[in-house]
Amino acid sequence: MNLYIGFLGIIIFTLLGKLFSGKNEDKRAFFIDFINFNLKLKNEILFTHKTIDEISLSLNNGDFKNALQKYLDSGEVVKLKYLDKNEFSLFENYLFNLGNADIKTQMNFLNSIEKELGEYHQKAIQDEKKYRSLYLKVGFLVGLIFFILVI
Amino acid sequence: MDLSFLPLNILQAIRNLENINEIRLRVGFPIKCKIRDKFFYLSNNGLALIRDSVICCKKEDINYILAKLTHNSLYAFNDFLRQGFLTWDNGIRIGIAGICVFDHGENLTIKDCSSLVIRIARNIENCSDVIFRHLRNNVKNSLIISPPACGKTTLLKDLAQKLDRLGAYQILIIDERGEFLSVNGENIDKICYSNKLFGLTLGVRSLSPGLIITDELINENDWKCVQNCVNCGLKIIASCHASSITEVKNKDFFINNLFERYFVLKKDGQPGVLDCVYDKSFNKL
Repeated sequence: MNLYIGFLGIIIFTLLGKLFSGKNEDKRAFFIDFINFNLKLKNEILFTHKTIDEISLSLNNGDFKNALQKYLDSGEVVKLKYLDKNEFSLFENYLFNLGNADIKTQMNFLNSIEKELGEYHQKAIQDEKKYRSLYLKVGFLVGLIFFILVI
Repeated sequence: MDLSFLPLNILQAIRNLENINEIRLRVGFPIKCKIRDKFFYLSNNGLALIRDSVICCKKEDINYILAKLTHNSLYAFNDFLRQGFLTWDNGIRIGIAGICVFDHGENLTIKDCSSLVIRIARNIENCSDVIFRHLRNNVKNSLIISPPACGKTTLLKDLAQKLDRLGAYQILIIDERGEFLSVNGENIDKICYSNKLFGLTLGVRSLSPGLIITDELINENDWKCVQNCVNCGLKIIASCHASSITEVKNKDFFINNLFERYFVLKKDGQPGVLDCVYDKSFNKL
């Protein structure tokens, strides 16, 4: 019986490790969507004058699209757990400046934020690489200790 | 009437009001509604004559309305914004006051908007009956004259529908501000959100109209555009801001012998109530 509980412990703790590492994965996906939206917006502003409401409908489903649409509908900025203070502040500032200026000013803003966005995206990729296996290993190790203690 | 671009508290306050012509919002001041040519304050319970319990306009209200009107994309509507107006989907025109940003003499945009004037246009059927009777058998180049907010556009919209049903002319409407969006007919073509020069050039070249209807001749260019059309053998019906025929004649850019009929509307009246009609020599008819 204890053997089964021990094995179950290993599985649960490993899954918990994977769950924690998933945050970094979500963050990377968020910044990819963020960068894509920024690029799309720059193109649409210059050539088609499409509205942000229209552009947001064509985005991939994900946290970024949901947060953007929530802001457009209600003015509320969704707090995403995996964003740290600086990242959230960048996102919030981006939303506040979205669509409330003429083409020239809007383009200047979108261009100015592009570099910073790229840096956050790179950091998210590195974090994902660094912590993904770490969380899995820690989860597995804790599960193993639990297994030893139980049997 | 779809006013869903208004903040919820204002929308709730006006929900039971009828015949609103105009809503005026100025940051820091009570919101006013114009109903049958009289201004009232807007309160949570509807209209009010005194300033107690009135709804004051906040900067956030203006920002909210602008965001809604532009679908959160000011840049996409900047061409209208820099001309000082936006138009809601169903032809409601919103005039904007704020700080103009100029670059090399060109107005790039208006920022920090402080006032909005929401003009709620209505279709009043048969309000152009009297003028239509003058033009029914033989459409003449006509100018409709009245001060702002006396129903020129409402009248032109109704007149366009009547002339369309008459079927004698292919009608081209040059609609600079999207105020004729609700006007449709089997003989009507519309060029919307274009200035008169571009709209008339495009229309005359490619749409072969017989009659052109356009609103508000404001400046010299507008008058010259109309003159070009008349010289092309087209009929034109237009409107102009003035309170009398003398004021029209005194305009710097007035062109004599362009129009054959001048219809002066009554001030403070219902749209289409005529004060006087003049022929091309300014004789009263």
